[in-house]
Amino acid sequence: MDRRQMTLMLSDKEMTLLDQLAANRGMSKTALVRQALRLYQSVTERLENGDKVFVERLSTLEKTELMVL
Amino acid sequence: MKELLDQVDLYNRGSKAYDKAEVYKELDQKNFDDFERLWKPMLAKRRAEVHTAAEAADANVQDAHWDWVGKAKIAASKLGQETFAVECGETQGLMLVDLNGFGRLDAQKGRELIYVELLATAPWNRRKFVVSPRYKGVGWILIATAISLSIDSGFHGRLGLHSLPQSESWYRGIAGFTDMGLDASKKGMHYFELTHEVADSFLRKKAGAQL
Repeated sequence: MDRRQMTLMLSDKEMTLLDQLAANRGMSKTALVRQALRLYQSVTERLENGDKVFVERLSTLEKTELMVL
Repeated sequence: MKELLDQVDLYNRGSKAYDKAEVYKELDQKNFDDFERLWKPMLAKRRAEVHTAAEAADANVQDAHWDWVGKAKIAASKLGQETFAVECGETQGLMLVDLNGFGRLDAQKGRELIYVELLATAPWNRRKFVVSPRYKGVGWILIATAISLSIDSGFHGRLGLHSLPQSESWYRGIAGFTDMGLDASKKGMHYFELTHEVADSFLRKKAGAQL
Protein backbone atom coordinates (compact mmCIF):
# COMPACT_ATOMS: atom_id res chain seq x y z
CA MET A 1 0.00 0.00 0.00
CA ASP A 2 1.30 3.47 -0.85
CA ARG A 3 1.70 5.43 2.37
CA ARG A 4 2.62 9.02 3.03
CA GLN A 5 3.85 10.42 6.28
CA MET A 6 2.62 13.47 8.13
CA THR A 7 3.36 14.97 11.50
CA LEU A 8 0.28 15.52 13.62
CA MET A 9 0.46 18.08 16.43
CA LEU A 10 -2.03 17.34 19.20
CA SER A 11 -2.77 19.15 22.42
CA ASP A 12 -2.25 17.32 25.71
CA LYS A 13 -5.99 16.89 25.98
CA GLU A 14 -6.28 15.46 22.49
CA MET A 15 -3.33 13.11 23.02
CA THR A 16 -4.75 11.92 26.35
CA LEU A 17 -8.04 11.15 24.64
CA LEU A 18 -6.27 9.36 21.80
CA ASP A 19 -4.30 7.28 24.32
CA GLN A 20 -7.47 6.42 26.27
CA LEU A 21 -9.52 5.53 23.21
CA ALA A 22 -6.76 3.41 21.74
CA ALA A 23 -6.30 1.56 25.04
CA ASN A 24 -10.04 1.07 25.48
CA ARG A 25 -10.52 -0.21 21.93
CA GLY A 26 -7.40 -2.40 22.01
CA MET A 27 -6.05 -0.60 18.96
CA SER A 28 -2.89 1.29 18.14
CA LYS A 29 -3.18 5.08 17.90
CA THR A 30 -2.51 4.88 14.17
CA ALA A 31 -5.28 2.30 13.67
CA LEU A 32 -7.66 4.42 15.72
CA VAL A 33 -6.98 7.56 13.68
CA ARG A 34 -7.48 5.60 10.44
CA GLN A 35 -10.76 4.19 11.74
CA ALA A 36 -11.91 7.67 12.76
CA LEU A 37 -11.17 8.93 9.24
CA ARG A 38 -13.16 6.09 7.66
CA LEU A 39 -16.13 6.69 9.94
CA TYR A 40 -16.00 10.44 9.33
CA GLN A 41 -16.07 9.88 5.58
CA SER A 42 -18.96 7.42 5.93
CA VAL A 43 -21.04 9.81 8.03
CA THR A 44 -20.36 12.93 5.94
CA GLU A 45 -21.12 11.09 2.69
CA ARG A 46 -24.47 9.97 4.05
CA LEU A 47 -25.33 13.47 5.15
CA GLU A 48 -24.25 14.91 1.79
CA ASN A 49 -26.49 12.35 0.08
CA GLY A 50 -29.45 13.66 2.05
CA ASP A 51 -29.55 10.92 4.68
CA LYS A 52 -29.98 11.70 8.37
CA VAL A 53 -27.80 10.12 11.03
CA PHE A 54 -29.31 9.66 14.49
CA VAL A 55 -28.11 8.60 17.91
CA GLU A 56 -30.84 6.80 19.86
CA ARG A 57 -30.96 6.59 23.66
CA LEU A 58 -32.09 3.03 24.30
CA SER A 59 -33.77 3.76 27.65
CA THR A 60 -36.13 6.44 26.28
CA LEU A 61 -35.89 5.83 22.50
CA GLU A 62 -35.11 9.53 22.24
CA LYS A 63 -33.31 10.28 19.00
CA THR A 64 -30.76 13.03 18.47
CA GLU A 65 -29.82 13.97 14.97
CA LEU A 66 -26.09 14.02 14.28
CA MET A 67 -24.96 17.19 12.56
CA VAL A 68 -21.56 17.56 10.93
CA LEU A 69 -20.61 21.14 10.24
CA MET B 1 -4.81 0.97 -7.44
CA LYS B 2 -4.70 -2.82 -7.65
CA GLU B 3 -2.11 -4.30 -5.29
CA LEU B 4 -0.71 -7.84 -5.09
CA LEU B 5 -1.16 -9.02 -1.49
CA ASP B 6 -0.12 -12.65 -1.55
CA GLN B 7 0.67 -15.68 -3.65
CA VAL B 8 -1.17 -18.81 -2.58
CA ASP B 9 -1.68 -22.42 -3.64
CA LEU B 10 -5.11 -23.26 -4.98
CA TYR B 11 -6.19 -26.90 -5.15
CA ASN B 12 -7.16 -27.98 -8.64
CA ARG B 13 -9.78 -30.72 -8.27
CA GLY B 14 -9.18 -31.94 -11.82
CA SER B 15 -5.41 -32.40 -11.74
CA LYS B 16 -5.40 -33.04 -7.97
CA ALA B 17 -2.42 -30.66 -7.71
CA TYR B 18 -1.93 -27.14 -6.43
CA ASP B 19 -1.83 -24.24 -8.90
CA LYS B 20 -0.23 -20.89 -8.13
CA ALA B 21 -2.77 -18.14 -7.51
CA GLU B 22 -2.59 -14.50 -6.49
CA VAL B 23 -4.63 -12.46 -4.03
CA TYR B 24 -5.16 -8.82 -4.98
CA LYS B 25 -6.58 -5.83 -3.17
CA GLU B 26 -8.80 -3.60 -5.33
CA LEU B 27 -10.37 -4.97 -8.50
CA ASP B 28 -9.30 -3.75 -11.91
CA GLN B 29 -10.59 -3.99 -15.48
CA LYS B 30 -9.38 -7.59 -15.82
CA ASN B 31 -11.65 -8.63 -12.93
CA PHE B 32 -14.55 -6.62 -14.35
CA ASP B 33 -14.06 -8.28 -17.75
CA ASP B 34 -13.86 -11.75 -16.22
CA PHE B 35 -17.04 -11.09 -14.28
CA GLU B 36 -18.95 -9.70 -17.26
CA ARG B 37 -17.72 -12.21 -19.84
CA LEU B 38 -17.29 -15.39 -17.79
CA TRP B 39 -19.20 -15.25 -14.50
CA LYS B 40 -22.30 -13.33 -15.44
CA PRO B 41 -23.48 -15.45 -18.41
CA MET B 42 -23.09 -18.66 -16.37
CA LEU B 43 -24.92 -17.17 -13.38
CA ALA B 44 -27.73 -15.74 -15.52
CA LYS B 45 -28.23 -19.00 -17.41
CA ARG B 46 -28.36 -21.11 -14.25
CA ARG B 47 -30.61 -18.61 -12.46
CA ALA B 48 -33.08 -18.75 -15.37
CA GLU B 49 -33.34 -22.51 -14.92
CA VAL B 50 -34.59 -22.28 -11.32
CA HIS B 51 -37.77 -20.62 -10.10
CA THR B 52 -37.79 -20.38 -6.32
CA ALA B 53 -35.36 -19.09 -3.71
CA ALA B 54 -35.00 -22.63 -2.41
CA GLU B 55 -34.12 -23.92 -5.86
CA ALA B 56 -31.65 -21.04 -6.30
CA ALA B 57 -30.01 -21.96 -3.00
CA ASP B 58 -29.84 -25.59 -4.01
CA ALA B 59 -28.24 -24.61 -7.33
CA ASN B 60 -25.73 -22.34 -5.55
CA VAL B 61 -26.84 -19.34 -7.59
CA GLN B 62 -28.45 -16.96 -5.09
CA ASP B 63 -25.88 -14.27 -5.84
CA ALA B 64 -26.71 -14.04 -9.57
CA HIS B 65 -27.92 -10.43 -9.19
CA TRP B 66 -24.80 -9.08 -7.44
CA ASP B 67 -23.34 -6.16 -9.37
CA TRP B 68 -19.65 -6.60 -8.70
CA VAL B 69 -18.52 -3.96 -11.19
CA GLY B 70 -20.78 -1.24 -9.80
CA LYS B 71 -20.01 -2.13 -6.19
CA ALA B 72 -16.25 -2.21 -6.78
CA LYS B 73 -16.26 1.19 -8.49
CA ILE B 74 -18.10 2.75 -5.55
CA ALA B 75 -15.79 1.00 -3.06
CA ALA B 76 -12.71 2.46 -4.77
CA SER B 77 -13.70 5.95 -3.59
CA LYS B 78 -14.44 4.96 0.02
CA LEU B 79 -11.91 4.57 2.82
CA GLY B 80 -14.33 2.23 4.56
CA GLN B 81 -14.61 -0.34 1.78
CA GLU B 82 -12.10 -2.65 0.13
CA THR B 83 -12.41 -5.20 -2.67
CA PHE B 84 -10.30 -8.31 -3.19
CA ALA B 85 -9.81 -10.85 -5.96
CA VAL B 86 -8.26 -14.30 -6.20
CA GLU B 87 -6.78 -14.93 -9.62
CA CYS B 88 -5.50 -18.13 -11.15
CA GLY B 89 -5.60 -17.25 -14.82
CA GLU B 90 -9.21 -16.08 -14.60
CA THR B 91 -10.77 -14.41 -11.57
CA GLN B 92 -11.58 -17.27 -9.19
CA GLY B 93 -13.15 -15.32 -6.35
CA LEU B 94 -14.27 -11.84 -5.32
CA MET B 95 -14.91 -10.14 -1.99
CA LEU B 96 -16.18 -6.74 -0.84
CA VAL B 97 -15.69 -5.74 2.81
CA ASP B 98 -16.68 -2.80 4.99
CA LEU B 99 -14.23 -1.61 7.64
CA ASN B 100 -16.86 0.24 9.65
CA GLY B 101 -18.54 -2.78 11.23
CA PHE B 102 -19.18 -3.32 14.94
CA GLY B 103 -19.58 -6.55 16.89
CA ARG B 104 -22.89 -7.90 18.18
CA LEU B 105 -21.72 -10.99 20.07
CA ASP B 106 -21.57 -10.35 23.82
CA ALA B 107 -17.85 -11.15 23.84
CA GLN B 108 -17.13 -8.41 21.29
CA LYS B 109 -20.21 -6.20 21.37
CA GLY B 110 -19.44 -2.72 20.04
CA ARG B 111 -15.92 -3.70 19.03
CA GLU B 112 -14.72 -2.80 15.55
CA LEU B 113 -14.81 -5.58 13.00
CA ILE B 114 -14.56 -6.17 9.28
CA TYR B 115 -18.02 -6.76 7.81
CA VAL B 116 -17.91 -9.01 4.74
CA GLU B 117 -20.58 -7.55 2.46
CA LEU B 118 -20.14 -9.84 -0.52
CA LEU B 119 -18.05 -12.94 -1.13
CA ALA B 120 -18.32 -15.29 -4.08
CA THR B 121 -16.31 -17.97 -5.79
CA ALA B 122 -16.46 -18.26 -9.57
CA PRO B 123 -19.45 -20.28 -10.81
CA TRP B 124 -17.19 -23.02 -12.22
CA ASN B 125 -15.79 -23.67 -8.72
CA ARG B 126 -19.17 -24.32 -7.12
CA ARG B 127 -20.52 -27.67 -6.11
CA LYS B 128 -24.14 -28.17 -7.22
CA PHE B 129 -23.58 -25.51 -9.90
CA VAL B 130 -21.28 -27.53 -12.15
CA VAL B 131 -20.74 -31.28 -12.24
CA SER B 132 -16.97 -31.02 -11.77
CA PRO B 133 -15.95 -27.89 -9.85
CA ARG B 134 -12.49 -26.64 -10.82
CA TYR B 135 -10.83 -25.13 -7.73
CA LYS B 136 -11.30 -25.79 -4.01
CA GLY B 137 -10.48 -23.30 -1.26
CA VAL B 138 -11.27 -19.92 -2.81
CA GLY B 139 -13.71 -18.99 -0.03
CA TRP B 140 -11.17 -20.07 2.55
CA ILE B 141 -8.50 -17.83 1.02
CA LEU B 142 -10.86 -14.84 0.92
CA ILE B 143 -11.96 -15.26 4.54
CA ALA B 144 -8.30 -15.58 5.56
CA THR B 145 -7.67 -12.34 3.65
CA ALA B 146 -10.50 -10.61 5.52
CA ILE B 147 -9.07 -11.84 8.84
CA SER B 148 -5.64 -10.49 7.89
CA LEU B 149 -7.19 -7.14 7.02
CA SER B 150 -8.99 -7.18 10.37
CA ILE B 151 -5.69 -7.79 12.18
CA ASP B 152 -3.89 -5.10 10.16
CA SER B 153 -6.70 -2.66 10.98
CA GLY B 154 -6.35 -3.29 14.70
CA PHE B 155 -9.55 -5.37 14.94
CA HIS B 156 -7.76 -8.59 16.04
CA GLY B 157 -9.31 -10.78 13.31
CA ARG B 158 -12.94 -10.07 14.18
CA LEU B 159 -15.39 -10.51 11.25
CA GLY B 160 -19.13 -10.23 10.72
CA LEU B 161 -21.34 -11.15 7.78
CA HIS B 162 -24.81 -12.10 6.63
CA SER B 163 -24.85 -15.39 4.78
CA LEU B 164 -26.99 -16.54 1.93
CA PRO B 165 -28.74 -19.80 2.87
CA GLN B 166 -26.57 -21.67 0.35
CA SER B 167 -23.43 -20.80 2.37
CA GLU B 168 -24.68 -21.01 5.97
CA SER B 169 -23.40 -24.50 6.67
CA TRP B 170 -19.90 -23.53 5.52
CA TYR B 171 -19.67 -20.48 7.77
CA ARG B 172 -21.22 -22.28 10.74
CA GLY B 173 -19.74 -25.72 10.47
CA ILE B 174 -16.42 -25.39 8.71
CA ALA B 175 -15.22 -21.83 9.20
CA GLY B 176 -16.35 -21.67 12.85
CA PHE B 177 -18.45 -18.51 12.77
CA THR B 178 -21.05 -18.05 15.50
CA ASP B 179 -24.57 -18.12 14.02
CA MET B 180 -26.55 -15.33 15.71
CA GLY B 181 -29.77 -16.32 13.96
CA LEU B 182 -32.11 -14.58 11.59
CA ASP B 183 -31.61 -10.83 11.28
CA ALA B 184 -34.94 -9.04 10.93
CA SER B 185 -33.31 -6.23 9.00
CA LYS B 186 -31.91 -8.66 6.40
CA LYS B 187 -34.81 -10.74 5.21
CA GLY B 188 -34.10 -14.44 5.27
CA MET B 189 -30.45 -14.10 6.23
CA HIS B 190 -28.60 -15.24 9.29
CA TYR B 191 -25.97 -13.00 10.87
CA PHE B 192 -22.61 -14.59 11.69
CA GLU B 193 -19.61 -13.40 13.63
CA LEU B 194 -16.06 -14.61 14.02
CA THR B 195 -14.23 -13.93 17.26
CA HIS B 196 -10.53 -13.21 17.37
CA GLU B 197 -9.88 -16.59 19.01
CA VAL B 198 -11.59 -18.48 16.19
CA ALA B 199 -9.90 -16.21 13.64
CA ASP B 200 -6.52 -17.25 15.04
CA SER B 201 -7.33 -20.94 14.69
CA PHE B 202 -8.79 -20.36 11.22
CA LEU B 203 -5.50 -18.90 10.04
CA ARG B 204 -3.58 -21.83 11.49
CA LYS B 205 -5.57 -24.39 9.56
CA LYS B 206 -4.24 -25.39 6.19
CA ALA B 207 -6.01 -23.68 3.31
CA GLY B 208 -7.56 -26.03 0.82
CA ALA B 209 -8.07 -28.83 3.28
CA GLN B 210 -11.22 -27.18 4.61
CA LEU B 211 -13.45 -26.72 1.57
